[in-house]
Amino acid sequence: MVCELCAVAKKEVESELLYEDNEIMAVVHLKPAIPGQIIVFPKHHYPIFEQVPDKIIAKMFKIANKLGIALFESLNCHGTNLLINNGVAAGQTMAHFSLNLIPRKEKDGLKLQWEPKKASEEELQTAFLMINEKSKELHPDLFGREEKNEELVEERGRPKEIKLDKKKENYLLKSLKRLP
Amino acid sequence: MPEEEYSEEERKAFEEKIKRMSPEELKEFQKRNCVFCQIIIGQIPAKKVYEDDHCLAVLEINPAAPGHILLLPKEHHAIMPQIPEEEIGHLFMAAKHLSHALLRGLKCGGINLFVANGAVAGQKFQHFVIHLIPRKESDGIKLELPQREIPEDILSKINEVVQNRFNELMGIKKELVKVETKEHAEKKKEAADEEESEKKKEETEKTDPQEEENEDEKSEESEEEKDGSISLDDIASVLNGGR
Ligand SMILES: [Zn+2]
Ligand SMILES: [Zn+2]
Repeated sequence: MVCELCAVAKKEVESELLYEDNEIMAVVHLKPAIPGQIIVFPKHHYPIFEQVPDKIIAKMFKIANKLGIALFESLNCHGTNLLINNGVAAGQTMAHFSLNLIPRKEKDGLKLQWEPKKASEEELQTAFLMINEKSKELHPDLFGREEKNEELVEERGRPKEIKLDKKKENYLLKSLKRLP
Repeated sequence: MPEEEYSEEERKAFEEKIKRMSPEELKEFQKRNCVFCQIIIGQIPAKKVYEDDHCLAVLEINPAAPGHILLLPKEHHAIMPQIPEEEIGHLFMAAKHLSHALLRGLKCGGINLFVANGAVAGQKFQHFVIHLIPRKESDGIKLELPQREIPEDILSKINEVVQNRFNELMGIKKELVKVETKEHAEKKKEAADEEESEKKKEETEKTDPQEEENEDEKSEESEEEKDGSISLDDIASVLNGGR
């Protein structure tokens, strides 16, 4: 079976390329939900999220964030969505992991939503236990012991203080006003 | 998580207050009024499924589906563009591991990772959050993306303006702060007027395809002057006009 995104990565088909390096690629979606939708994906064929190495995930989202800022500033959108459809039941249409970045504005007709349901204490506890057990089994390094977490932080170095520029501050104010 | 309700008056007073605040005051104010910041400091109880120095993951008490996780940076940021790069990498790596645990632990058919930046995108809280939602067939959750046919010229125009800005952001740190001088404001107005006439031009293009090349060149010229002039509204009007 031919994979659409592998074909894009190998330049076998035309694309509207935005960013490329050895590991990842970002292109303008040719059949977007909203014009300006961007897909970011690893060049290597990984079917789902969980298979993609951490290093590539980190890079994909850093690039997606920069592209999101570029969308805000170049298309004058009022918001962005970042969406991963991981697995067929979650709406995944291509067998190649990708993330979608979607520029949004008022009344653009796109509905991404769910009906919140009040969870009982029992339901929450059940989910909590199931997730916790699996977490420790799959990622003992992350979920197992406190000391490990500190090592992880050590490796990454301390986070830098963020300095907002004028534009972002303005955006913050604007977005705050829109929030309930 | 409960949503706070404001009356019209309270809302106005709230907005006024925010306008007068320094960035530091604003941040303090946000923290005090933020449900998630309260959860992070332990003032509001929650079911924590993951925690490290930089982020916290809790179960959503009003979930889309059982096992719905909210992953939060511990530092209060309203939207993704405000989060430092290192934090972003770390947050989404944590998201991946949580997604893995959900997928296996709940034996569901898939996971959606959903982020909304801004109210128009569906953001409900003032604290940046990554949603991880376990999915099953026909669960009524609407997170599928429809596909639309878009003319090639519009796609390449989008590519051009987004890429220009993106390259600036990626490259040597260019001045992003633009001082709004009187002259600048005037130029902006001119640009807006130009945009209007450009829209008209585009309409003519539709009826007169022979002149397309010529017109394209012109609009590209003004494009550079205005520094990213194509907006979603422009695109929408072109698309609607074309139908
Ligand atoms: Zn592939
Ligand atoms: Zn907060």
